[in-house]
Amino acid sequence: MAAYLIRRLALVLVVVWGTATLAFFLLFLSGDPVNLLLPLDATPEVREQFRKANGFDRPVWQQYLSYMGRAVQGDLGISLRNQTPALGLVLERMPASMVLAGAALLFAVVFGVLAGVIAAVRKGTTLEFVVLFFALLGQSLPVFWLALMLILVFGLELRWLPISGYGVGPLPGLPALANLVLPAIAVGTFSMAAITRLTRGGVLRELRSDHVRTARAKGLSERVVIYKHALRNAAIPVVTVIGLQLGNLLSGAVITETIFAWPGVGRLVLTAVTQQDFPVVQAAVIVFAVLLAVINLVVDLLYGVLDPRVRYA
Amino acid sequence: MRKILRAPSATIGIGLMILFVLMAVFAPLISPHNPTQQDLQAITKPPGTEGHLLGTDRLGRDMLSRIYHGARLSLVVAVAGVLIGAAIGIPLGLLSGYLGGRVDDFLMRLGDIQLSLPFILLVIAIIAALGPSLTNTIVVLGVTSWVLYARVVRGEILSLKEREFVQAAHALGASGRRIMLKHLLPNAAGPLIVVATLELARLIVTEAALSFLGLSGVPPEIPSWGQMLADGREVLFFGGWWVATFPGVAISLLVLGINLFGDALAEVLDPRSR
Amino acid sequence: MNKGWIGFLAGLVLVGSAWAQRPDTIVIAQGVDVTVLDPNNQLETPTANVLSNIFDTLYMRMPDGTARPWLATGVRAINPTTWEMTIRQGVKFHNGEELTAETVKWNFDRVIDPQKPLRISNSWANLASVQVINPTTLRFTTRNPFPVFVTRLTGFYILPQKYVTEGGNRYLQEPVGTGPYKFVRWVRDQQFELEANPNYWGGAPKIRRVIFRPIPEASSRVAELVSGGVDIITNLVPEAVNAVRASGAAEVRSVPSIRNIFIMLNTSGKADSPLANPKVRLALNYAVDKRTIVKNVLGGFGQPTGCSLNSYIFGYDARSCQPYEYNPARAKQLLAEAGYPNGFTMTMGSPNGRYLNDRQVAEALVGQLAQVGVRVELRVQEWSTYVGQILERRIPTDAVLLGWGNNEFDADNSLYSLFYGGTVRGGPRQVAFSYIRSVPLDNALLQAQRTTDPDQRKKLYLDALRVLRAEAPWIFLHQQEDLYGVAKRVDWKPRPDERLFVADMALK
Repeated sequence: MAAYLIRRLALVLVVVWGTATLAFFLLFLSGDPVNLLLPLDATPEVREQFRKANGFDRPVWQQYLSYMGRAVQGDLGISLRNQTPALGLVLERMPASMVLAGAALLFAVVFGVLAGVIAAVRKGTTLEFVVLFFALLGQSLPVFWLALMLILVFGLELRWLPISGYGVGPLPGLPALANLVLPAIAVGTFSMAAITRLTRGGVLRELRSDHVRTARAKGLSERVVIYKHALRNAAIPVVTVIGLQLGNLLSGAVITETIFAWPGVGRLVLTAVTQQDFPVVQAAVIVFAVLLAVINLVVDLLYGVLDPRVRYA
Repeated sequence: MRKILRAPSATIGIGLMILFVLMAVFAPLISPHNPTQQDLQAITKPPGTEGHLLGTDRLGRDMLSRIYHGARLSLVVAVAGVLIGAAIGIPLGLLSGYLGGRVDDFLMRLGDIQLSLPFILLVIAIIAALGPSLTNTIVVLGVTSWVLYARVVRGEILSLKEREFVQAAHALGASGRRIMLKHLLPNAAGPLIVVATLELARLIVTEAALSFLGLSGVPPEIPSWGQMLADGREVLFFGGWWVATFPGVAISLLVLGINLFGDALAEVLDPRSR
Repeated sequence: MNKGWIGFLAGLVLVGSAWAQRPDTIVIAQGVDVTVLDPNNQLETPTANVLSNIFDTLYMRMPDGTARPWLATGVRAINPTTWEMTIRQGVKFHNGEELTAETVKWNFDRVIDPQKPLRISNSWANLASVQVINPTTLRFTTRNPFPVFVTRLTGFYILPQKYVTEGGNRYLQEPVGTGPYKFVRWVRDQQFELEANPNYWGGAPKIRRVIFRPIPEASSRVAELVSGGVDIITNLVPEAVNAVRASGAAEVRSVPSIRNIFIMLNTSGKADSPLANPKVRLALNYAVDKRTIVKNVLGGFGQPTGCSLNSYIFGYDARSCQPYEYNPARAKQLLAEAGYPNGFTMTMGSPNGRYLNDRQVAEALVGQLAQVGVRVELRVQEWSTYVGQILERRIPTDAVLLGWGNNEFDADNSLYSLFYGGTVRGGPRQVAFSYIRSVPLDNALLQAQRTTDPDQRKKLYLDALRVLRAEAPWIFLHQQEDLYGVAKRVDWKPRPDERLFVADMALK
């Protein structure tokens, strides 16, 4: 187990390094940041001064080495636009992204598992068909379309929920709950649909399995059988989806964050990429790579908890 | 196939897909107008306006004709993207699974790295380097989606490798290439088809999302649902709901159709989800 | 669902609407957030719009385009390269620090330091040195005559010297200025809060609290305005105007902007390339129906133009700037004369969402040029890539759509910056945008930049405009109009320079 963990952590480092390196060169491919920092009619002399002051006048490999040298010491540079440490800008946005991802996941798991169980237990009925149809519909609605429709219905027409923003929450750094509802639904619907289908499949398989049959034979009530045995074993695919989706939920919420003016990392990355704010993009890439790798690791470990058959070698 | 058709949802899915494919194929014949013909005197006219069943967009172009033609772009981008992704991903997955060891480590870490990179960064950098065009947009979508295919193939191979028939082929002296192509690949076909179907749906949405963010390289003279939606969203709540709504509904329906079909396919082809 | 659950949901909803419409607070929504809290190290309109409420400039741009003394009480030219400035007395920064001539000198020294250039440094490259004569008087020495000195002062903000030099990075977290509003707090991508400065030297502002919110999505901004969540939104789209008015919740206010929109043509091709021929370029100008584009694509919010200036700008001449008439027959005839009776094919680039309906304008243009046989392939690009390619003079297309907001209100910034071709012997190198090579044009532009006599300059710019009229180096389109959605309770008139001075606003 310890050897397994060490090996996995080493791989995390390799992936993070690779991602940071690739991002560094992709950023160079995307253009010269000085172009956007200065007025369009800036003279060549001033451009040169600016390049020098920011170290862009050196060869790319030198810039890369000095960046990496500082990065291992935890210094990810200063934002070209904001003039503040890039890492701070990214970490500052993390709570908003995590709260949104967490709420979306909660929404997805609660409703997804519920719908999945219903569909499995009522297999062959109209109810199953309806549940599955809506699950697929949820998976088919593009998030930008769903988000706009949610604003239209709940924000503009019914006026139940705020249209945009983070609001002032019960604790500093947390959003107002009302502001969280629509973005969380927009982000979570896709995962909810996936979880519904997987839960249904998992529960069906388990209901047919030997130990459920044994449980039934022992005279346990149907409810206990479903919730205690079937659901527990059906949890594995759900954990997989959560692992896959959490990464997506964190980094893929760009559009939702833009539409709802949500102060998360996705929006920061979009702005930073389009403003060619290299240090900020780079910092976000590194933070994400670390986060994704850790999530993957945790998911793999969770398999072990849920399914004793899984071994780590 | 008969098994697939037994589920009512699959029938709906296939029906929707056929509808959109027909729409794409016959777009020039069934369109009442040239989809790029502007009429600045008749901009943002509501549905039901004389000669424009679904109204006109912000440059006075006929919405219905653009919806028909937009089906072409969505399908072409998605199919081509899936083919490129599969063409890169399947061989790499085969190598990774069959050879194992260092090659496997390297390829799988490469996949992790690619998935860790923000997609927006990849798109902007590639489009900046290659220039904006339909082909380059397809290339971006295709190239960035290889990892999933590779992982699926690799996973299948790892579970097949130790099975008797592969071992037997080895023992009989079959070459590595032969084993991969003759024995391993066909067994991975089921899950691959399922993945490809779901990818089809994902790429349609992704292309639209790129347009939504203003990052798509698809030239404006090609009607695209994503671009239509992006154009219309500013006037969605006030000024012209139809400009964004019809493409929004079209994307949702096509993707729904593909997902319904893919779901039924999975039940049949992928034994694990049965 | 039980009653407790419903009550909980209702509670959520109430919390959410807690901050809408308070009688002493105005909420303003822009598309993007403030980037940096140093007003002299930014060039973005949304950032300047917020910071110009906290910081004062030395001169103030008036809504009619003229510059009025502000923190400076006057500027006097001693000779073409020496200026004397007097400073307003008794002005204090929000932290109590006093404004002196020394403060002003330090601010300029900071901007012209070549070791640590700031983003506005380019505007002050001509400034050689600043001396303090006495506590309220300064002397400026420039390398060349500097006719735009005073107009550039309207973009020069004054920071507190001690606070910045002695407080470490604090000035980048809690800005302190002399302006009508004081900084309260800024939560990035959420809100930027200001409160009235009761001791403002120009008198306390009327509105007590200000909240700036970044809402990137245009449709969300409009939705917030109509549902009462915000009081002012920027960049309303023309198509939404009628619906916003009809909603009864808000009004639409517009103002002709300082920004002109045009198509820059790559005229530098070989002699046999169509765009190198002035007749072809003239034909393109005649082929574009600017009036229809403005009326329909821009909802009437704009003015067709025939040059890169507009009436706010010093050096503007109504006759030379008259829009080229829409005359497709004449365009076809000119094309035939130039040897292209069947037209030709060219490529054109456009940004997406940078200017009011930019992409739609470009598409409409493609449609109109097709009418005279010019086939245009349009390529829409993301802004950073687009700008990079234009600046590095590797325009991938024969033409690009661009807008130019002249925040100096002087022709120098709309003519020299865009057309100077570097043909003057011993003169500066060409500027990034220029593709046209004309000795008389360059002479006039360089001379006008180095002459302080306004009448002389006006004449030189007239010469330049005439050359441009004959050469038609670009397709001139229109002067943009800025559109704002404004809640009914707000008393405010928009300004041509896009600034949002809350001190000019009041709540009814």
